[in-house]
Amino acid sequence: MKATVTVTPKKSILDPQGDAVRKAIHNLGMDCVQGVRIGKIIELDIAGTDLEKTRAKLEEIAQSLLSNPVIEDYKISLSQE
Amino acid sequence: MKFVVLQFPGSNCDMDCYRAVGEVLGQPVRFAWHKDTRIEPDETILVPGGFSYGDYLRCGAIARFSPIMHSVRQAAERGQKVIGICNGFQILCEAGLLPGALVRNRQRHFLCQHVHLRVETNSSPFTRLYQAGQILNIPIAHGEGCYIAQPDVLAELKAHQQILFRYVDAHGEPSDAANPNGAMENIAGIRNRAGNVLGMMPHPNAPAKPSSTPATAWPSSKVCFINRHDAMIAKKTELEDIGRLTFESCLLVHRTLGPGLLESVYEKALAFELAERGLQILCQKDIPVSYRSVRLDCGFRADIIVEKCLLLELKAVDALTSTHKAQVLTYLKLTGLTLGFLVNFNVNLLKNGFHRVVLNHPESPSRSSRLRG
Repeated sequence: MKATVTVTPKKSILDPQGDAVRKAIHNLGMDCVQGVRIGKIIELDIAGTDLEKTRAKLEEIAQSLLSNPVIEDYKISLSQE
Repeated sequence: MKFVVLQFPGSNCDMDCYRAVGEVLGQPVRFAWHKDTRIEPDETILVPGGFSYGDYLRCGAIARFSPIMHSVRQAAERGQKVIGICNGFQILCEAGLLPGALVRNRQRHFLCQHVHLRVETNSSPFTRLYQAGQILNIPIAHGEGCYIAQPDVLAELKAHQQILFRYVDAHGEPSDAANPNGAMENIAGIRNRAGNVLGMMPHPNAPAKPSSTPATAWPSSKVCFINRHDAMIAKKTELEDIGRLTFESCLLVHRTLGPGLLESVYEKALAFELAERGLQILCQKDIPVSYRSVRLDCGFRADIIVEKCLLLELKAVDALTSTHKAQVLTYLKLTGLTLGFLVNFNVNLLKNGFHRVVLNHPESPSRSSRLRG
């Protein structure tokens, strides 16, 4: 199975990194970019075939390790592949 | 007090913490590798600064799952003291032992500089030896020290006096300019609700080098002395601190009540002020006297003994005489203490009624003595 966990800063959190990149993008001539948020993608290679059980476990791991719920949101996509 | 300094792969302030506690403060200390699980029930836990796991994923995100952290959580639940410094603070937040989170510095630079910190309250065990509003000069060294929390969490921190240190300017103002990393409300250090876990971004361990004098090391190291009864350091500066806090308490009592009241009133008011400052006091303690083969369980009653090392003899009389001072010397000899304050509250200005009495021991003139038993 393949899983992709996308972790992004919560909307309410200031993202100085995103802000710096936005300014750099403006310098490259794309002034229309109004907001930039930077997150991370975590790709997992998982043995087994039980999608439901795996998703449940992944939720736990995403909330405790892969993201910090105080400052980040996450999305999981899981497929058999 | 016994200390244990945790070591994670990537911790780099572990040695500083170890030396600060062991050599400067003279307390027993050991290291604990992150894979160990042993934490003794009487140990204060130091989670040091550094870059545990290279700050991979998020600072402290991986370290929080180390085997030792399970033991740290149990110890914290038992009420043991835990001090997280810099990366240690980050680990404690990730572990949920402290609320909120530390994120990238607002201006995105790694900062390595001295900052002014204001002690927000001295009602916490970690700040008991400071005065509220006292300004400390302590270094920071971090790239992700910006403290943030949800509005309701922030409100709770304020309501329960959990904010212990704020970044301030040289005048003690928590201005924007004084905020190095964009932390909400200039927060530099907090405690948990129960009061036994401290997290702070600045490094109190850094100024405490063996070459430091007590005057330079003591101010920042005092955060470690969270239980004064166990902090058996015979340092002159500690006694000076106790003396200073006591004198301030006497001033406040005299300013509030004025002269002309009964001695017992001043004693009760002073006891209240001293306890407010977190000082351990014994009131009207029976002091035994031995005369040759005869032992009298109560030779006299000491008005107040502060932290088992400072004797207070309180008076409300027209004038102090040399006999009163001699009386205090006698009391000092009988208690084995070396420092006493003779305080007459029946004066217009307290400084005219305040006398410091020192008993010099010919054998060890520089040691401060403590009351035994």
